[in-house]
Amino acid sequence: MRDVPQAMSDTWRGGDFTGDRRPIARVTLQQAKIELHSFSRVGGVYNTYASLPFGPDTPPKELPNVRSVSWDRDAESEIASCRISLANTQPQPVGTVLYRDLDQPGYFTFNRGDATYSSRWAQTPNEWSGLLLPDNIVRTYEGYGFDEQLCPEDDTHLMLTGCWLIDQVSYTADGLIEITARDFGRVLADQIAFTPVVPANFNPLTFTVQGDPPGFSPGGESENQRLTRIINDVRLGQRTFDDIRRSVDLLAYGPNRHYEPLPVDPARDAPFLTLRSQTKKRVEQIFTNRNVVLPLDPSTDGAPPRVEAGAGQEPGTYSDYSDIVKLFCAWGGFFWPAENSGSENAEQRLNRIVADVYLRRRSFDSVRVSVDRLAYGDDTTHYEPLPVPPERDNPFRNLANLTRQRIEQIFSNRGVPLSILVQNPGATMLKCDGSTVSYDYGPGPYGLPNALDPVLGENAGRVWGDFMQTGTHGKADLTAENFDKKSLLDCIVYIREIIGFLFYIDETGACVWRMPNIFQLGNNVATATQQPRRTTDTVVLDESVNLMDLSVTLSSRNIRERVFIANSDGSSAGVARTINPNPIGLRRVAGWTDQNFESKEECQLMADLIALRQLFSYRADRLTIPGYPKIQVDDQVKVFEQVTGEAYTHYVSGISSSLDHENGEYTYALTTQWLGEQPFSKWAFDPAQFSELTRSYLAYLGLAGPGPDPSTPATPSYPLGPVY
Amino acid sequence: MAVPVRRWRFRAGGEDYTVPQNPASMSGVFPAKSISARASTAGRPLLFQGATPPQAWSFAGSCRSPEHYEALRHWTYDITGRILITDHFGRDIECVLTEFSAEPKRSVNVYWRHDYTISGLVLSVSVPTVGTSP
Repeated sequence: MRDVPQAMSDTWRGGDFTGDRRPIARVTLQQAKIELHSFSRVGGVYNTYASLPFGPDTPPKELPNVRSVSWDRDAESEIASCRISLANTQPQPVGTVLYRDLDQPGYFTFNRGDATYSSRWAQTPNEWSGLLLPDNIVRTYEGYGFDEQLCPEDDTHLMLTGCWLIDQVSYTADGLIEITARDFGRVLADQIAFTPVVPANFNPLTFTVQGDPPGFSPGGESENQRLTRIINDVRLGQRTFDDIRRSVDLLAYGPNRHYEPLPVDPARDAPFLTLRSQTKKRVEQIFTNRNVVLPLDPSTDGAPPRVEAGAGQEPGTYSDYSDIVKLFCAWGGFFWPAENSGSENAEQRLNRIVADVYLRRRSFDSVRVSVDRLAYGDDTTHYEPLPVPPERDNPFRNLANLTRQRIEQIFSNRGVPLSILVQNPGATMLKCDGSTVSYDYGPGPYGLPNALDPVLGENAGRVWGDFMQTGTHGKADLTAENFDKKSLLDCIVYIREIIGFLFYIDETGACVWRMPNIFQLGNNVATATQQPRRTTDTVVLDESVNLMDLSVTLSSRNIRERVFIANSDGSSAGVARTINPNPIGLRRVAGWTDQNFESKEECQLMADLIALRQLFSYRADRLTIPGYPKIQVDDQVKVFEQVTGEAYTHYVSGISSSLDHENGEYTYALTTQWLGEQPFSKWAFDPAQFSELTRSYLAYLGLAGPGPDPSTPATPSYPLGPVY
Repeated sequence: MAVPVRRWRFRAGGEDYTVPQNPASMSGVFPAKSISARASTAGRPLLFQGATPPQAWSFAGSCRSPEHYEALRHWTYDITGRILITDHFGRDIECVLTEFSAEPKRSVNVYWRHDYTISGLVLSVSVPTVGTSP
């Protein structure tokens, strides 16, 4: 619902749409331009925000000669469409004739006067050249009456009813222009989740469960889940680490705990110092624990660091350091054994390679140390990867990939329980040993507090619209195949269908992402402020005032007596008994399985919500009223009509608007679903029949709770008119 | 003594023509409003007004000279754009003339006697400037 001037409301209820109250549509045209804004470079990741509604740098121009405007908007359909018809001629002042024509036909044609043969008709370019073209922006303003001294944006007789991107322009020889357009959601439908729309750092798109707020101990989280969450934090740059350690217990090779560090150096100017120092310490420790003596001393003379390696002797086990330490270097993902320059021994090789890295003559994505023939075991070679991020702009991707893969590989080969130790500088050490987890966040490399979404960010304005928190997240990873190379709108719809939210573009070109307005009497009022308000007012559509037409359709086609929801492996499931106003004993069953459902309670909640939506589809109305920009999709309205016995609150799921300047008719055809007569007394559903979790969830979202006193009828926005 | 009347005057751009003899009759110059009536389901009338279409207009008279005849033809067919006709009430009528229909009449001593009818579309009418007398 929108706030409209009182004069518009009075006109709408008055029923007299003549004279200075006659229906008017004004249309503006603007050269579209997408403006790109770069995120501040934090953490070396560049990201770009593209703005279409606010990108153009030329003001809109009003299109004259509009004959008709019609549009369709539906809460269930993500993209609205619009058709505009106008006359392609411009009056010629009295007494002037350009050619042999009356007035100036073809005045708004996009290439008027630009062709080599334009002089044939004495045509020259004008201010409309190159404007009425696909992909430019038109905005429609509709209402009753107008002020010719004001531009449409300032005319209080009119309301903005849509921002549209032109799909198609048809010019006819008999002087008409037909514009077909869709709202800004078209941009989401036309572009796919791939570079350059998705920044290279984030392509392909995948999503995993975000890190929990500070102090939150998930408990009960499996180790794989902990690992996934931590890696995801690193990938999203919500954490920085100076090392990630793996705490390995109960190795097959011995009882002592030791650490294999995977250094991540946050200091960009010294990407390998940590590697060098950690390598020394850790490698020494590793071998010390195994009674293998391996001193590694860095150079102290200022020259490139020199790592010395030595080996102790274990009788009967190994005899030469070169048999013990081999250095494998990976460069760009390709692996080859350490280079052997003539008689260079392993120590010299190690020195040279590390020096190259230090001097940045090489880039690596991992440096491995291979240890053979440990005293405690067989000859199985294993690798402790020490990832070295090669790219300044993407320090954590390889870390994340390598860490997970290598850790899994290493420990799965040994049948050792996975254990992860993560340390954040200055923060509490995170230790995951299968029993206790506690941790603290520091600021991530973006400089954002971890609670902030890296998309919405710390600065307002990266996305524009009304966004409601879903209050939940999926259990399973949303992997790349769900998004990669699909349209952005498909990606949004994929999430929308899971959680049952609405997504559409409103009249101002802003996104609307929220729960359907069906759980509580009233409407969300769209305003220009940051917090849209809520009102208990509803618009009354009364037969004695201006309800022009109404048809009611009852259908059980979508009714199922039972709805079951389960997760993919069937370990969690819920069943809801749906509501059939005419139960005859049928047992129609509908079901849905999805990997994201984690518990029986969640399945029950989803089943309840599906049953509710099915009930609302049982009785659907289609009604016609004079056009009224106050009403939006996702609104509730109250309808009174005698013949159909309609006296219920309805949910507006779709609006088809038509304004014709020639016959003067301006009508809305609303598609609605019934919600009931009075909340919590004669509502179309009884919340008590839902599970406790469902009721709690609705209350959490602020959508359902004690409503107005049922004994007091809800006061409509406007008093009923006289009955004729 | 005949009361002098204001002669009709035709203007467009640099051309200006005053008729030697006013038309003898004319139809109304004001258009009909485009109003459609709908009703609510309970019978309450709802009125919608659309764009007012140009009014079809005609005026008729007689011409007695070839100059008069030719002028009327010229203003109807040679000037294709909008013209202003100032009638005997001083009203500036912006119009587009669409047809000049002239029927010759037998008349002794007036070889070029014709009865004519001119049709057109009225786009706007100004307020009259002539009161109770010319």
